[in-house]
Amino acid sequence: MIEDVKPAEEFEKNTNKERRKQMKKKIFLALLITLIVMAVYAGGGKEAEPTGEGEGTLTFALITKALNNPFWERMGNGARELCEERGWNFLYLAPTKAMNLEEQNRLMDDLIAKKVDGIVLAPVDSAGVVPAIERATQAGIPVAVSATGVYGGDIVTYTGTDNYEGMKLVVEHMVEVLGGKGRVIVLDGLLAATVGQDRRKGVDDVLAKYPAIEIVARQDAMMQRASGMQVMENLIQAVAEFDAVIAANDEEALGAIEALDAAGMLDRVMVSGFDGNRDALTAVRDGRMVVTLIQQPEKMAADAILAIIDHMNGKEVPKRLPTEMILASKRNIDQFKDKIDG
Amino acid sequence: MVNRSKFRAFFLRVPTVAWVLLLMIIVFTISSPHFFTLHNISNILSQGSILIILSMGVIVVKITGGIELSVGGVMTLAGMSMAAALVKFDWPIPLCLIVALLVGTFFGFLNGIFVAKMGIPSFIATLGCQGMAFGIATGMNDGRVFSGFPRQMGYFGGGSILSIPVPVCLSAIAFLSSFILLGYTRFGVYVYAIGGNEESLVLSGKAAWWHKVKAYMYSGFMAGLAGIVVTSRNMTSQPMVGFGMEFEAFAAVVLGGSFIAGRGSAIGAIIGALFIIVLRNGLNVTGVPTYLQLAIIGPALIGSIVLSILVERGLRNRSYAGK
Amino acid sequence: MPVNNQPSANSKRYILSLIRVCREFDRARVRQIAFRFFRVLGLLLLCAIITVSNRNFIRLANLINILRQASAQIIISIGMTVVLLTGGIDLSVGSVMTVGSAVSGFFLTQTGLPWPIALLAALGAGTALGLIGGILVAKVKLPPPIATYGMLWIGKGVSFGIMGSTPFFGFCNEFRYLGKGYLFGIPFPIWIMAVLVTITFLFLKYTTMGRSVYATGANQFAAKASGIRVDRVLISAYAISGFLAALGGVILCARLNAVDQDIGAPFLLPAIAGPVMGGTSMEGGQGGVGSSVIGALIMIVLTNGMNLLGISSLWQQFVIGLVVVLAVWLDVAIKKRS
Repeated sequence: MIEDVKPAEEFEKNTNKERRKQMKKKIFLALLITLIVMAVYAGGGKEAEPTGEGEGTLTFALITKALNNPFWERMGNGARELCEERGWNFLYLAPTKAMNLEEQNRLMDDLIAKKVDGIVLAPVDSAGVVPAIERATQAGIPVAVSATGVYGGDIVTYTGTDNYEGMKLVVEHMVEVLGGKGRVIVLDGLLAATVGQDRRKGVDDVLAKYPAIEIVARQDAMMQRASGMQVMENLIQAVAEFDAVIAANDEEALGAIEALDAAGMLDRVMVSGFDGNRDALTAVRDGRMVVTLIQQPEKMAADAILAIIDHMNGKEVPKRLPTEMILASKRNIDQFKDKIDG
Repeated sequence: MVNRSKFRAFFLRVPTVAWVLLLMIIVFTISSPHFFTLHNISNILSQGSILIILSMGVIVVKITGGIELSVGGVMTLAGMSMAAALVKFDWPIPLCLIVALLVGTFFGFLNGIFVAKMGIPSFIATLGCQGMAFGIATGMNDGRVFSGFPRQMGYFGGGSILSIPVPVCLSAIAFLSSFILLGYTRFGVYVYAIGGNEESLVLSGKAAWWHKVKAYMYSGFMAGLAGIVVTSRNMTSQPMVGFGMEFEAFAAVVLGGSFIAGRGSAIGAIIGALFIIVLRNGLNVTGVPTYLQLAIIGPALIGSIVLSILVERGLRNRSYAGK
Repeated sequence: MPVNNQPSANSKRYILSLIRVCREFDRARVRQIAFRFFRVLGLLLLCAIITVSNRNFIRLANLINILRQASAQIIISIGMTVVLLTGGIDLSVGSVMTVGSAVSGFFLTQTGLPWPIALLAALGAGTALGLIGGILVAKVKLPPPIATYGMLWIGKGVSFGIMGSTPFFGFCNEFRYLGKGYLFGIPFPIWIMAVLVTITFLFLKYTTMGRSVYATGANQFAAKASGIRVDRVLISAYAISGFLAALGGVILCARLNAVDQDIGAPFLLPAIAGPVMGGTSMEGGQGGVGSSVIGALIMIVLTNGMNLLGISSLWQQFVIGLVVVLAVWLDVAIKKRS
């Protein structure tokens, strides 16, 4: 707005009166707005009831953690396929800034306003989304979480791989390949969420059993390919010799593999991942990655939606619905040809 | 003649973005029955409170000609400090709130000294403070979050006064504060003067630098307030929670008309903030998947900004010609 | 950013002020050289401190590693330098990087065309975006932060339009050579970086257009009055920045063998902080490629050094923020002592 130039002296008196009149107008306007807003909230609170009846088609929404990992895309695909099959509406949302809690909360609130029939959520922060989940449940919208758990909130169920057990499988395989001894670098990921914590615990619990295996370095590579590569490049310089890299997920592992490859170390160092993305499976087939764990994000999302349906029909739903996971290594990689090419 | 210039004056006073916002609201209302409901309107206001509070601080700095990039980090650190006081030291809630506000104001003070006393460009100074704030926030608890707050802490994010949610009340207070500050106090005059032409202010004997510092301190205070709200809403304090908010606040004040130093207003900034929130909310409620949204948000933002600038230039040129 | 907006009718006055500006250039150049020396000293001191704590730093392999990691960043900083010299700023570089990656990724994986086409398409896209930004600044007269902020969003939209929600990965080897290859034992990105730094340095110092960039930044109106096509200078500056940003994106995805959502975002702020730390002023007219590279190197060495020293990545942000502020302050304080 343009600030008016101060008028000359002669106009001072008139403008004072004008200003007082304007002030009164503004105060009146402010009071009016306040009353309207109060009315909005007083009325709006009561309106937060679920529909679902009277509309025929159900609408489900999936909120993932980001748009830049094929893992989330696979979740979206799984959910979308199920909804298309059953004739339901489906909406796929994610924070535009990867792993952003504030955006996830906003998405939750928008979905509540949209009155969807069910929400599947992959939480960025296992504690930070709880109030949003509570708001949804209060509004009568069932919420199921997938791929990462939450600390609290009345959720329908938690579908997803058991990250802890899965990581243990991966690490046991690596130990076997290493022959029970060696120097290992551990790349953690996303320790703010249960997924990072669980996988970290899995690594630690298994390696504790093998004193001949030494963890020579450990860093958080943020579950992204670029940071995985950069962290690996730095560690290559900082650490003299090592035999293996255990990564928290495929994207980190693939970044690390690029770094190792560029340094000419890839044939000496074993790398493990977690997720079973197409890129990773290709890497296992080509011998660049030793092992990864195939998760089934498609099924996780679909299971979550089906659980919500069961819940809506009054059926009893177990609080934890583990999804099957399969270890993929050189030995059995041929089984997964379709995942690589298809 | 008089009527036409009053007409023009009215259009000059109302930021162009307000009309675009109105248009957007109409479009969204047509596209979805869930958009223009009492519930969603209250949702928009509550969601937007954090951005609004931040924008109310940033606008003051922007008018002085500075670019405020630290609000995201300062908000996060304020929240983390408050949480630390609450969870680690068991301080009573009112004291913890003061901690958050003090942290925010302190970083504002730092920014002000960097820019006004040490002559560092505001872009760099606030960027540096942002890094420092995020750094402390991440380092202070090893990258982990603080949680386990007492139930009453949720009041600032979830409670309500006279059935208006507390965040909305706080954002209204922030708006009024900036509105009055910028339009009705001597400090406001100085703020615009600094933005418009700093030399004249110096020549007239005022310590312009101290007013600049105050502007940044005010922005820091708002960031602290926003930190309280966001921490209370999430009931956890995350070290990266404010990441990227400074760009949203920047977009909000620019949309509201603060294109160059010495221009801008609290009303413009709040409309700009609402524009952003309504845009995202409308797209979500209408059911547009996120990856498509990204293709829409950009053109909407830049289109509105360019439109605002062109309209305002056109109107101003015509009014000069009329004189 | 242009400060003075008082056009005068007397052209002689303009020429006089331009001469004054040039003379100040000389004085400033002497000062500049003296102080660049100081900054290099600072950089060397930093290296020395790190080496004392961890001898691995000074190893050739590590230095090459640092340069290679930094190559994309430095290339973008060069583009940003040119824009900063005109008194503007380019907030879209991160987004244009992503576009460069996305376009090359698209051409490499979704079409059967040979990789040079992918490269050209990416560079073309970046230059186009830069051109639009330049036109917005020069013709539509939008303030640079706003114009390029808009381009940032348009870039995001373009990247998403190309990628959808599927990241691209798996590029052919010839293309990857750009990022991973070695030439005479030195990684290819470092060669690209060196060539670009040299070209830009010569361009800024010895060509009319280059000198016009400085003049435009120092005083846009004086420059215009003395016959410089300011519009063309500005548009070219932003186009160069877009081109280099796209090139940076190409190198990045060649090294990473993948493209994703916002691959370029983290590069924006260091691309501004580095040059400013190195002495390129945000107001325009001062600084240059050399300064910017040194500033960028200081930031990069600092990060690498902190990793080698085992400083928790949690606190690294704090250190970088502090160093940026202190370095720029030092620069400003020294400049004031005229």
